[in-house]
Amino acid sequence: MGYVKKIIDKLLSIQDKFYSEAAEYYKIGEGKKALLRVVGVGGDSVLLKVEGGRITYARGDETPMHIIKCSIDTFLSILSGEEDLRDAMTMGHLVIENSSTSTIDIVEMERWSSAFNRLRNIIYRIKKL
Amino acid sequence: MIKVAVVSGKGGVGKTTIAVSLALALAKSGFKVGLVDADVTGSNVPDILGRVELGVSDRDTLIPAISRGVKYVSIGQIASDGKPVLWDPKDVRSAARQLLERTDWGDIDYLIFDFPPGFEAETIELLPLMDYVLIVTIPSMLSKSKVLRMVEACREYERPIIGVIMNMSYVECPSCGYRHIIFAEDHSFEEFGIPTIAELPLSHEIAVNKLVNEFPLDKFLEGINNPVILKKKRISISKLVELAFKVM
Repeated sequence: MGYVKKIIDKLLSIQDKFYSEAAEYYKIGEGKKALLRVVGVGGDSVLLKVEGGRITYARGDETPMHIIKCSIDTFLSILSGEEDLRDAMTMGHLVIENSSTSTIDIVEMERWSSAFNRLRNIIYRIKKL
Repeated sequence: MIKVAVVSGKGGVGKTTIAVSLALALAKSGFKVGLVDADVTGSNVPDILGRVELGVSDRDTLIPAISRGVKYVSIGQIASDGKPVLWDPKDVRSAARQLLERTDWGDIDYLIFDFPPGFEAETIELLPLMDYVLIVTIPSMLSKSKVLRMVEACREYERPIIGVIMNMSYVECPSCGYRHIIFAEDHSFEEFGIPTIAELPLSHEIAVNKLVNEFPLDKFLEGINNPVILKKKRISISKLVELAFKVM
């Protein structure tokens, strides 16, 4: 099993653990669906489905509209809060590509930045409880 | 929607100040105006109009911020403040185009573009799509030689040129009002028939707010109605036939 899958497995288990506390966050994504391929160093990758704000593994035959590319260092430093998602995108550490054009997708970047801010606020709230 | 590029040959000539002032002056005159900060890696527009976050609509488009009646978008509103934009040139080109094509502009009369200086990736991507070009420069030979390349680019794409705004043309003495010329070199573009639509002073007060009220809108609109179009040189059919016979 590749390292990207190991990390995603861990993240999905954390997601399940906090699902009830973060229900408000999942509500924001109601009715929306996105497919994302997370690519690590050396091409190790997993295909994820974000549906109704909840992340699960997608089937291999589904085509992602966007591809998130970053190194495992960046991925972990964003999750740990050491690096800001917006900073990582600005500095080219994390790229959100439109799979049909293979170039950066600025609308998706803005959407992810806003979503990440909301998620961070929820995490802070959960921490306080 | 009329797309106007505000371009320069070199940096630091006051292009962003002019682009923002033009957009605000048009809005003040009753036009519906949008402003694109087309300088993806060196955006400055949010420094003047405000670093307001953009929204995303259900139709997957950016919702522009609005300041004094002008809708505006900039990578500076998406990227982190104070961090360099270190993107691949193909992404820079693509981002510049997306600012134009993936923004919910609605019904607008003029869309003003603040271009990066010279021939960055954004310029190469967007210049061929512009309806008009407004050149900003300062009266020095160094600047002129770079603007001449821009004029040639406009010829290559056959883009209509509105005119030249000559910034930092003189310094006005605060006590006697005498105008001191800073650069004594020939700086006009008359040989191309391109008019100078304004000569602006180098001044502490030349800020956007002052320029909005004094912007030469009448000359700008005159230039829109009567632009200079430099034709690309093409070899004529008769010349081709002549050449063919010579070869034979």
